[in-house]
Amino acid sequence: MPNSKSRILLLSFNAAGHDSLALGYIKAFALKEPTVCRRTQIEILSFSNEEGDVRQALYYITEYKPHLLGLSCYCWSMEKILELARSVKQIMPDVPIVVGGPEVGPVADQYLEKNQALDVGVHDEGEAVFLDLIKCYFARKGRLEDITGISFRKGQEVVRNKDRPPIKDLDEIPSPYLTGVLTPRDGVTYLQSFRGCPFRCGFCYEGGRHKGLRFFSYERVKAEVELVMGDPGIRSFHFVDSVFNLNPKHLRKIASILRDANRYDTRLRTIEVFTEQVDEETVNYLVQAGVQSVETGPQTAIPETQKRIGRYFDPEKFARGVRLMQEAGIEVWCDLIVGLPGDNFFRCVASVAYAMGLKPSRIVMSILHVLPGTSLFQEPGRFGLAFDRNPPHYVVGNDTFPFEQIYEAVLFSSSATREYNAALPEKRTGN
Amino acid sequence: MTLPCCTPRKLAILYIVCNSFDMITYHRLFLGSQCDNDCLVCPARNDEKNRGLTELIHEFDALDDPENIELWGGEPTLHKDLVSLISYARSRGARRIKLATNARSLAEWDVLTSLAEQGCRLFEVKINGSRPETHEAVTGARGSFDQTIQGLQNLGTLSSSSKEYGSSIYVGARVAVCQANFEDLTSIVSLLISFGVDRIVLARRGSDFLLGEAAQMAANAMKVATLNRTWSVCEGFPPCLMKACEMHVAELIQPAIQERERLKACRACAYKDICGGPPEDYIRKRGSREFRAVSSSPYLEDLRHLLNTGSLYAKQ
Repeated sequence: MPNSKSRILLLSFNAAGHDSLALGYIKAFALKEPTVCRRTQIEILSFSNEEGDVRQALYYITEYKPHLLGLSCYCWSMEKILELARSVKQIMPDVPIVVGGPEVGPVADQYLEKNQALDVGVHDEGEAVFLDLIKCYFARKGRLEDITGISFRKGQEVVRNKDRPPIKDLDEIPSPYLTGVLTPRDGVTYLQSFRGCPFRCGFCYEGGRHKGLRFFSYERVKAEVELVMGDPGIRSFHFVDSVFNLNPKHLRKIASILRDANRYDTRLRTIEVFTEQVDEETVNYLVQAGVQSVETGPQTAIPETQKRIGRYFDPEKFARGVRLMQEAGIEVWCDLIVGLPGDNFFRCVASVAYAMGLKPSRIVMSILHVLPGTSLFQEPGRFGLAFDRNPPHYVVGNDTFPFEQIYEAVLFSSSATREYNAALPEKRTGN
Repeated sequence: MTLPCCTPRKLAILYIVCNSFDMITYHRLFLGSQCDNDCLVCPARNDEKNRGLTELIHEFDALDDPENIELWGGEPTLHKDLVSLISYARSRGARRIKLATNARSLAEWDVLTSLAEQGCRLFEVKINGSRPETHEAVTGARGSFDQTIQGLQNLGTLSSSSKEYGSSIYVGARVAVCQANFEDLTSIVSLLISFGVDRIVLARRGSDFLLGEAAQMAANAMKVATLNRTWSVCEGFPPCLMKACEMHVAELIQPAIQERERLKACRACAYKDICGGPPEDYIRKRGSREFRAVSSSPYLEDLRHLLNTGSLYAKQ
């Protein structure tokens, strides 16, 4: 290690006002190592993806003069990240640039081959890999060849190392909040009780990555919840678990932690639920947990499409789950995706009609992104899928849904959901 | 078409038949017949008679689910108690209050903002021409075009620049397609696109023009809307005249079982169960030669599913 502290900058483009939980984990994990903690200075920098300017980020980087730059990559921010990396390489050619995140992970070697500015791509979870990279670059411990879970540039070649199994015991990753790496803030604080997803939806990156779920200990979750809910300035926060009502036992435990810690009527917002599994008991736990709003499917209301993309869907159970949550005063946001294989224009219309019939608080419509690491990305031939290989990977057609119809369906759905979402908040007075 | 002696109830039924396209079900509240336009295509007679606030409140209170209401009839903005009615509806649970208007009064910024303030955030503006001479040939009211345009301008401003109302303002436009304006449809749509409307409905009115010709004009106009990322639909044009435009036919997007007696040509049509067929008065006047059975459609199974989806969510 050099005498003065080595500077490491972790940067992401997020939704306005949001921190990156992922970068918080990476920093917290790295600082767990006493030598790293003593000899490096790690900074996290978040820019608004909508308003953040690449040159503004570049200016900050030139001021900070990092010795290592880590960039968090999502489909929505990748163009900016690549532009930034190219510019950084021009100004600071010796600073290694490491990219990771869901946009890069599954195709890290391909990104390196196409983009000379990138030095290392992380295949999957970044915490342990990034620590090894810090050791390698600053303590000269090990070689890039020996770090599993990365692709790296070696001369003119790109080398793809073996994948690294994910961290089994998630408690090995210190909490970014409990360690002070991230500061809880109202509305933009994210907690997590487990990683992975029990489902295998064809359009989603989460479930396809690893089999099995990994949990943080309840003690750890409790400590984080108590920290967040103990702050009266935090009115609401989020859990980023793929399915908040994973199973009755887990839900019961998390709900009791949240209920016991809730002194200031703090609310949980836009958590993801498996709606077909929502019954009266589930709703009771959601209420106990202080859930104000949930986000859920159905993505499409066409059973045939659901089957093709490997998703479970029962329209009647789904409708019942939505109704039960609404009756308990929980806002339900329904998501729809335009462009799924199996759908077409009139099937999209049917999905919008189905979703509107459930009377959710909001309908969120999006266009299919065929993301790296998803089964749609890996097996496009099965679905006749055509899509842009570059981010944000918009679909341009599939075997049932030609582009002209996708375009029309987007116009239709945007107009219809905009009208639907123009609803004013519920307001009732007595007679 | 004139219906001089329509009762409000008859008018309401007629209106529901004529104004079929809405993914959201609105309870339509008829406010009266006072109007500052005198449209060729309007079934109502402008007798300046409006319903009283008490009667309207009584009707509103009788609604099972007052979440979505549409205020229509005559020109609602001329009703002296409109703001009070909106305020009442909002206080009693209405969340989407839509105004079917010619937007002339909305040329006054204060009128528009007072409606928005009370909770009216959805507007369906009736416009019938891209130029004063076309629009006013339909409305029969000199100066109406400029006011409607100013109203649309104000709605656009409210929608795009207002932090308070922005995302909750929805502006649809409704064009009554008739003899006087069917050749102007593309220009009307282009004009509406410039105001950033959220949806355009081209609704056939009357039978004094060749439906096939008007259908072609409507199809061209809707293509212009699509190319400019604006959603549009047509109403009252049988699908057999709208080939390659099926995705914009309101009767297919919201199919309903039709039990009318059919023309011979229609009996073999793929859409026979959900298409009401050409209008009867049109057939009497011009015959049925334009209409040909559609032999097959790739959408039939999906339309059946749409019908079932409708009945599924109706049960919730």
